[in-house]
Amino acid sequence: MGMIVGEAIVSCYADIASLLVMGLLLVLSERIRQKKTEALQLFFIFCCQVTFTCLVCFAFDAMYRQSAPWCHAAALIFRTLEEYCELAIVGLWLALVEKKLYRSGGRKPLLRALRVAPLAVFALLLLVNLFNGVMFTIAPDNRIEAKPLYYVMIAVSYLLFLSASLMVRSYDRRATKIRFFHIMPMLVSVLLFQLPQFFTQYSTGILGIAIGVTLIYFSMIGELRFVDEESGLYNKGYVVYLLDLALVGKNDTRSALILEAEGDPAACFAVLRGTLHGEGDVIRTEKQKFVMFSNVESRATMQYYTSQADEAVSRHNAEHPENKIHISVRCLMRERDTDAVSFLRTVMEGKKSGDAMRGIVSMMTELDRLDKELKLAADIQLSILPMNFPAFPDRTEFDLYAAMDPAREVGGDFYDFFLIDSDHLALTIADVSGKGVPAALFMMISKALLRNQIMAGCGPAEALRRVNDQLCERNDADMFVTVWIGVLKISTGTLTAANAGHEFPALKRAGGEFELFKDKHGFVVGGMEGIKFKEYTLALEPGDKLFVYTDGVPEATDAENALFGTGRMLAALNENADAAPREMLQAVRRAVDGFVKDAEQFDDLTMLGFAYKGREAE
Amino acid sequence: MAYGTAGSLIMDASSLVFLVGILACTSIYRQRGRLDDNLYFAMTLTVIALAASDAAAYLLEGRGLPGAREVMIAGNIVFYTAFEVFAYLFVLYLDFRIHRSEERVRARKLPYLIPCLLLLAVLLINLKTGWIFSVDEGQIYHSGPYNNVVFVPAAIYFLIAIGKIRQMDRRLIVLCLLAVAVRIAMGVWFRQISSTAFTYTLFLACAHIHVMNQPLTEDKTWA
Repeated sequence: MGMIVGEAIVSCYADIASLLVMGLLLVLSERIRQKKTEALQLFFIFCCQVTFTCLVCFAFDAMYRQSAPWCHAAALIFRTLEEYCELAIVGLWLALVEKKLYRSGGRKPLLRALRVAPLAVFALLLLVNLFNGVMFTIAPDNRIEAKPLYYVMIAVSYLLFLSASLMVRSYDRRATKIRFFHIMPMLVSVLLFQLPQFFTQYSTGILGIAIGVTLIYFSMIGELRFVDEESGLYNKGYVVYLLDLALVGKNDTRSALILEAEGDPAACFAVLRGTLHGEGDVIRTEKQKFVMFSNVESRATMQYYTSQADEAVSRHNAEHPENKIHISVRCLMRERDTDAVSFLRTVMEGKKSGDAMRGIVSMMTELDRLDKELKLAADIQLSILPMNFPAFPDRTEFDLYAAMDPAREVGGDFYDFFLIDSDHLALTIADVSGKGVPAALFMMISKALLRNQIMAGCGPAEALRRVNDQLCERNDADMFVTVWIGVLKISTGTLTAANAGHEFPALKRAGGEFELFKDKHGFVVGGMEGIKFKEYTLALEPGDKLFVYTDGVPEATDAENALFGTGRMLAALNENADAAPREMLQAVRRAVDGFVKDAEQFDDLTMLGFAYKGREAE
Repeated sequence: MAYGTAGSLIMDASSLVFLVGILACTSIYRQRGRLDDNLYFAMTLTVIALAASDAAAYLLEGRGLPGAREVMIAGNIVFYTAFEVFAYLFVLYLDFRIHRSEERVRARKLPYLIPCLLLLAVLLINLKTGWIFSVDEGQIYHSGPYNNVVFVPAAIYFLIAIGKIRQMDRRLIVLCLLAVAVRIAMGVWFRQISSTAFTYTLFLACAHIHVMNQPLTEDKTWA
């Protein structure tokens, strides 16, 4: 066999270059190959097929103008083998794209059969061609002499190759972009390197395929990986891909949230990931930008995420004052929310188009509106609580003071006091399950119902029973409220009270100390229909004091998560045992604040203090 | 078109396609902005400059276009400079990948740059003397008597690089030596075809494949 000459040198050079590319890809990816998923295995079979094709192409190109007698027959065999290899590449490419798209191995068997059928026909024709040259023959200089049927095969192969993009489109119109991005390098590279073949004798097609395969490898394997294991920096394309899957309901993602962080990204990542407790994933897409994906119900996502992230950030900042972070919510996607997904994708892709900017403005306006509405709701909620003190300036038989400090804009605690008639005073303190807006709405209803029942002349137990039945009637959210309610006969000091799962009141007899009064606990209100509550009476003497509170007081926690507890609460009360209710509450508040220091308040903090003075004070 | 020119253009064009693809696929690393990411980006840009200048020089050779000679001279200077700069950046890249120390790289970047600067000086002198290369009035490229001098700094850099790769992964050194051997063999066998840009592109591709070659812990896309 003589030296390779002329155009064959270029073709052989391109074949060797392709072989180098594929060889290096296969040798250097051995750890990725250990992952035995079906699609990944298919990809590496595809790589092996391309590598083998490079070898066959080289063998055929090396035959050009070789005069040895066996070279002509070898050229025919190599060329036939090359055509088989290229049909196999097309078939594997289609299978790969299909596998990548459908993940379950294909959902449209008829379409698949239609695509595979021409390949099978051409494979048979190539076999026939060995004997009668129906598709091509080998010229005396060992170059190919194509017949019309050969061009038909090439055209059909290209059409099938290109049909991958149509397959992408048929999958889901909204979810095409990222998949198209994945197959683009292959399409561009193959088409670009086919061009010289049409106008010259240089065979460069396989080089295009090798480069395309490598770029697909970069694109697809890159998207799987945490690029930076410590900070969770991820490929944006992967995020968009997850959004796409969420959009068409193909993964567990129910919601996604873009968060912007300040401070150490690694710490932000660790904190955010910790908040999800395995219910989703956190991905870092830019230096200071994260996306949280969650399989939590979208209904309460905003609230859920905000609270989880806020709490985690506060804990982190308390534990690491030297490494403080701040995380703020940019926008939220809910399950199958097309507009939100496309907006998120635009943001992720970093486009500064007018639409994206309008989207950002619209989303920020929406968040501003929500903020304003929450503030308004907080004002409304506070306005329904009696807040003017002294509450009854012309009544000297008693003194009382109450305060509520919600953990968020709106809270689920409430207190109430009102005169039923000139001789009866009602006192209420309650704590709704949950926090935020739902708890606030439930609280408003509970408060109104309780007041109505007491004003209608019911005793505490009966009022609780009726309110319980009313709340249970339409309680789709399964919320409940713990209530302590008492009705005081001012003239005698007889306090009739009932406790529906609430904290024990603290009672101080004249001259004594505050102690927990372990009253009869009933079931919570709103928990179960038909519950009856028990009431009890207490004879208050002048000088006696009563302190009722919600669990936010004893359960206030410091940076080490230690509880404030009833012991500290009673100690604070007893240190100010002779003080008026206002000072008494302020002392407890100061004690709580001194205990929790910079740790964030997780629960609403509500207290009511009452001092009975009796007729003697008149 | 002579097959040498055609082959060189094909290799440069394929390098450019490959490099653009690499740029697109490694955007996430640029966002991370670690020193090795920045060095990788710089290497990619260097090879793009090398491939483009090489292609331009081959495309213009002997065409008789006005100003082509000057463009060819500028293209060749860019080519030879990029040839050294890539090797220089590659050494710094490997140094950071092994030792993970920005200070260490910072301390070495100037001493390592000296061969590059010397070569640049030689290239500027070459404009007058034609020791390295020259382009005649007929727009034909001629190698100068000391043309091989340009390969000396690159050879030094690659010797350092091979030493560093040996510290990183012993298996890689075999592959690296094999790649160098194939490159030299191709250079001898296909003397007329310039494949420097493609070889460097393969270095870049290998570096990226090696970085990605970690066991997959999360596999959502291929499930």
